[in-house]
Amino acid sequence: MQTFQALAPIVAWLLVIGGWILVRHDNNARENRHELRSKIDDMIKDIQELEISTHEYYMANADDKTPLAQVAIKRKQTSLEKRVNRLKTSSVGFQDLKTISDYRNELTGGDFEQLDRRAKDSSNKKMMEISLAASALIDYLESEYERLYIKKPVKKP
Amino acid sequence: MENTHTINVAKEFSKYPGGRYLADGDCSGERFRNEFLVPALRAHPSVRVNLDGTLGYGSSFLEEAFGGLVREAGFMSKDLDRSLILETNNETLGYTIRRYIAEAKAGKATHR
Repeated sequence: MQTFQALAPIVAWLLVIGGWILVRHDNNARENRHELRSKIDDMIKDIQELEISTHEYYMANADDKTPLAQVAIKRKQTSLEKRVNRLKTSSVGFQDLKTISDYRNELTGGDFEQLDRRAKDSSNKKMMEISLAASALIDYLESEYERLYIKKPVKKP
Repeated sequence: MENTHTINVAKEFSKYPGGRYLADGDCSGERFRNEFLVPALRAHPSVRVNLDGTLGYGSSFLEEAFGGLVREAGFMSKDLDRSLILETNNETLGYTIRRYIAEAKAGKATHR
């Protein structure tokens, strides 16, 4: 009985501290999840905007605005790459580089920045490939987020 | 590594690399390959290319400059794996360049 009375306050304090650690851990995990979701949402918005501006670039003939359009596309592409790379280093997911590399290749490969480039029409295969690469990158970001944070329901036997 | 020759693209070539062929301008991938990469790789056992500090790279530039080492200049992809060191804070850039070198080797120059 005396042992119980001596230990009870210690146990109570251990429970309080343990509970505090658990709550803090949960709060941090929730904050990290919200932050990652926000970053992914911003990247998806930029991927979609870059898809549109790249379509416009390839559908127009070269004029005096072309050099600036090219610079803008390269800068946005690089910014997106670096943000995806930072996800790779800051979490256990997002390890694949092929999808973002494919996206870069479709946007600025081929005849990008060539002086003799001719405008393509909207049904050109290039436009479809740009959109496909953008969709693949968005799918990749969403599926990695889902893999990290969305618990799949357990299938009943 | 001793005997490593370093090329800093932004300081020695251009802060605004762009275009694939010589006809596309002074900062093209073809010019960078012919005037910087090829001479350096032929003269030194290893070459470090620092890619940072520019306004960005189009894939057309990268494919012509680096894929062209195999396709046009006759380098072997496996030799470039050892002799070409890529220095950049953009991991995707390094990955993409290695990919272009590997695909040029396999005759998969799909970027023309």
